[in-house]
Amino acid sequence: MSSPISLDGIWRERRALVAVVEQFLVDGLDSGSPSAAGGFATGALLLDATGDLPALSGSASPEAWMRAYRNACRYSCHMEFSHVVDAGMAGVCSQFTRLNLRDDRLLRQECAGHFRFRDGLITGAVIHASRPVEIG
Amino acid sequence: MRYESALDAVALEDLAIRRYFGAVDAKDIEGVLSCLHDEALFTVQTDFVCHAGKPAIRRMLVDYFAAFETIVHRDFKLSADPATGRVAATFEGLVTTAAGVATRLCNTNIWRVRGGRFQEIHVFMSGPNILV
Repeated sequence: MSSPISLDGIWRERRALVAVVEQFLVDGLDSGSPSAAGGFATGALLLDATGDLPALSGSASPEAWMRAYRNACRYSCHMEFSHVVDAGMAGVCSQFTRLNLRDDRLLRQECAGHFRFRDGLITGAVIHASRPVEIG
Repeated sequence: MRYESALDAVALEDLAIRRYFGAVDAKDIEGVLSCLHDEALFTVQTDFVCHAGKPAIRRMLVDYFAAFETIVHRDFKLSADPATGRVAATFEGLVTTAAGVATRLCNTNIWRVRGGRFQEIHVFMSGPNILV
């Protein structure tokens, strides 16, 4: 069945880059799906600039990083995405809201993730998160 | 919010890096404000602070420029998105007081352009907020 929406090459490229980012955040961090780690290139470097989460070095596996993240919180929800997509330079900077349940407190953080790509895979990312605000 | 913008990728980079950060590092308040609309919103997302409108942003800049002897932004990793009028950069910020106390930050800025100027600036800081 053909798609009801006709996308030219540029928009297909944009959608593909955004899908990798959202797959990592939603399928990987929120749902714990190991397949989300497939969006990372070998040796990818992921840095949490606010020091909230463990760093993913070139020698660590994305799966290990996602496990460490999920061990730190019992509930995780990434939502309200807004993307800056640079298809030419293969970069995506995403703004999003993160909900976490830690120590029986539901916390909200405003975040940004700046992802670099090569051949459709994430080669590096810098994550920023606001100080957590308790909600609910 | 998405705005109408006709700036291409080169113009977005020029506005964000050469004009905006060039003026910040030169402590040129009028140069910084010339990049913004009168009702621009400047938010430090990591600290839930919002400076709304040029008078509030000017006040913040006056205090910021007075607090540091030198301000340097460098090593920009840029993503420009002409289709949505947005541009983002991750970079190193190095600010030094007159007493020689240096603070190094790894920040990300996201700018939203309306027409040819910034309507919104979203700042994500790796350390304590210095844009108060």
